[in-house]
Amino acid sequence: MSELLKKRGSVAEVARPALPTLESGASLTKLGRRGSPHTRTFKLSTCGSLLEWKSPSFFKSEVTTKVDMSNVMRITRGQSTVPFQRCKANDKVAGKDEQSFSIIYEDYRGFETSLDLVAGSVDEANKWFKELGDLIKYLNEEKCLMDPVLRFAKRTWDHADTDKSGSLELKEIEKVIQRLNINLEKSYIKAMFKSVDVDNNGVLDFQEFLVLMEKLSKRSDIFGVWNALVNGSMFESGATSATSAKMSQAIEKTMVSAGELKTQKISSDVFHRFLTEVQKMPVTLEQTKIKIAAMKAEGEAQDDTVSYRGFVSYLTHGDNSAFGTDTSVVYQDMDQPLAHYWIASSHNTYLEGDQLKSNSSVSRYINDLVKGCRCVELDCWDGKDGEPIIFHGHTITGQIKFYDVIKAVADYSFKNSEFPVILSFENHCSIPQQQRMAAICKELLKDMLCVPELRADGSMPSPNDLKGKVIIKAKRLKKKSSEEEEEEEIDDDELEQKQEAKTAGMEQDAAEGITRTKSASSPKKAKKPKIAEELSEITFLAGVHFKSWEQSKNEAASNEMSSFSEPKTDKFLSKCPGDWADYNKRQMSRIYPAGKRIDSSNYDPVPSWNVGSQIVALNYQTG
Amino acid sequence: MHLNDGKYRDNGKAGYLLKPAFLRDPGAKFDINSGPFDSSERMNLKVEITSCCQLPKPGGTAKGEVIDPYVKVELHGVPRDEKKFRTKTIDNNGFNPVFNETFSFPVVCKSLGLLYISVWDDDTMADDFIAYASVPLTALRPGIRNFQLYSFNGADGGEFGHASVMCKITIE
Repeated sequence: MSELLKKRGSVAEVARPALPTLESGASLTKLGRRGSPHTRTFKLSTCGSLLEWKSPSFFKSEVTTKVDMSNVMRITRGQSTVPFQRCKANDKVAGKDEQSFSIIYEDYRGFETSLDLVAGSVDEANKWFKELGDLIKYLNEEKCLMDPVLRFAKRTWDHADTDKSGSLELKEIEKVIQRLNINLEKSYIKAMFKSVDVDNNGVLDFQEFLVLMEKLSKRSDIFGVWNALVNGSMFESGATSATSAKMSQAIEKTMVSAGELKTQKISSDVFHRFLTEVQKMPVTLEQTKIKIAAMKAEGEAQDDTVSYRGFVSYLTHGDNSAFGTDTSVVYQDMDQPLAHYWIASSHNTYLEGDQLKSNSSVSRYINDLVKGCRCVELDCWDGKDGEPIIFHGHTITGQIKFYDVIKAVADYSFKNSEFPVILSFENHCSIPQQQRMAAICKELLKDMLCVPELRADGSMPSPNDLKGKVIIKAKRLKKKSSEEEEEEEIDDDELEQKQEAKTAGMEQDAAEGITRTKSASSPKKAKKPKIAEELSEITFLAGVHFKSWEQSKNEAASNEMSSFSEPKTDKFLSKCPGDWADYNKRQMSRIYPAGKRIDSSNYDPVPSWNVGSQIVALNYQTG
Repeated sequence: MHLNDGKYRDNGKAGYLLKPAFLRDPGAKFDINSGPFDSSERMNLKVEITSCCQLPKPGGTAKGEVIDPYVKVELHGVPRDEKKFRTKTIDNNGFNPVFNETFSFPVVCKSLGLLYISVWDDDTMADDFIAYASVPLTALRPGIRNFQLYSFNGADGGEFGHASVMCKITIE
């Protein structure tokens, strides 16, 4: 509560950073959709939240493209995105890593897109990178602190003023109303336009536009609650639902009583009662008064009362989210063994789209890790020149280098969460390339790479113990005595996936240019050990073939874990959910989607969470 | 993925969530169908979908018809708690449609429950998905509250930046 108060207390202003480079604009090399570089002039719009550039057009003399900077997810230095990778052979931008940066943002559909730029010099790139970072940080802070009503009006204005004249004509207003999903007769819009155009000059300035937005955003829903607070009916016995159907009659009246609303107020006592009785918040009257002070708009009387405007602002502000826990605070006990947690996990992390022919990208790993995903999957195969690669075996999905992925893991794992990252290896590599995998992990992850000891009681270490660490889940070599058994073992995931693939009628040959090892293509015949000692040594979570609940309970160490495909999961869930819940108290289990989900659709994770499965891997690239 | 997003937004987005005691203690017996469900795990949840605010068009495009929205309210958790409802459709208003419909969920296992709200555009052919919100029941707050809505792919910026559902949540 006190934290929230502090935040609201500084609502008034967040200092806007100086952005000389962005505001004056500069010419940069931009990578086109097909990777071809061209030069454009980039500039921050006058409203301060859109980055714009002009391109020649076949139909018009030029078109302006805009990126809304409030949609930016992150900015990165270097040439890590897909367009850069595609045009590496092109010598115009090749090797200019130091001068390159990418703005990664969500387009209007919510898809991740990148704007890939190369500056004329390293110095210039530094300036751009710094100012972009400052701007994004500022916009984020503004989003948290600014009055939501005003912020919405500002954003709507920015989009409505298409000709950047600094004023809005009737036509622009009609368009924006349609865009806002409001259904109004043109004559009605015209009348409203006239009524707010107080200086009668035929256009609206921002102040006049604010009045129009206020008229449009009457929030008849909130008016019902407000009315019940003003006339006291909210706390009457029997009136349990303040926003009940009878309010809808009152709602109709809102259209005419707008003027009245401006003068109505509720006292701090009434607002305090609302907070404690309706919102069930344990606040004192003193705390309520502090909150009220923080809710005041500029120019409003600084007394202990709440105006309708203030009340709307309170209800619609991010602080009033139904999500009750502060999403920026880790409040749970993080000292229990790993098996006691659910872990955010992604499946086939490298894929950008479907499971058969989509692109693979390093960007996906970065995105998932930054989102807070703590377990990513690496499908490793032998590549050319001794460099292991990652792609979806037996399909024509794109390929990326194992090295590049581990580099991304090293750089981005702990940007937003300090808790351990699990790399789940699905290993199809020959012994030499497995040795290379181990060497790459050691070289890039350095101190992050961790093979922890089990605790004295045999349980696994905790998330707190492993802060800032990367642990590996893969198959391990067994002790000498049982090595023969190991060799007979079949890669569970792969076998099941293959069987499913067959039944789904989508048997595919591996993409060309891939040397598959004998052990991967025909695991049953393999006689040589399949796992390199170097890789086995750095593996903490040992993937084992699941035999039975009894066997696991009596023989397995807590860091041995098994993977279960979706069909097997369904079977166990209906037959023995209790046994599985017991297993998951000590050991971990990983659930992965059925091979038939070639479109990367997701299964329902809830039943697996219900029995306590920790790693319920989902396709993060799919909604 | 929508449920996953809501679940892991909890606990400071750490990516690690502590399982409830009955899924940790070696002595505890728990079956998803028969429990036992402790009294501390039970609650009567009422969700009134009051209204939506500033809904985008399907896929977040700027152009196109004004939408006819309705809201689906779902509870996910142990089999006994799974339940789905929907509101009526409000024609031609995506800016501030008012629903005022209440749905009841008698919950037996709060720790495993997730509330999932999705907004749809009613269409004669196939209804279009607009946006969603999901929250674990352990993080749900009572009172007149707002749900920030997310696009199908989890975006909360751009056209989705101001989209929300207002609810009255009652927990007994």
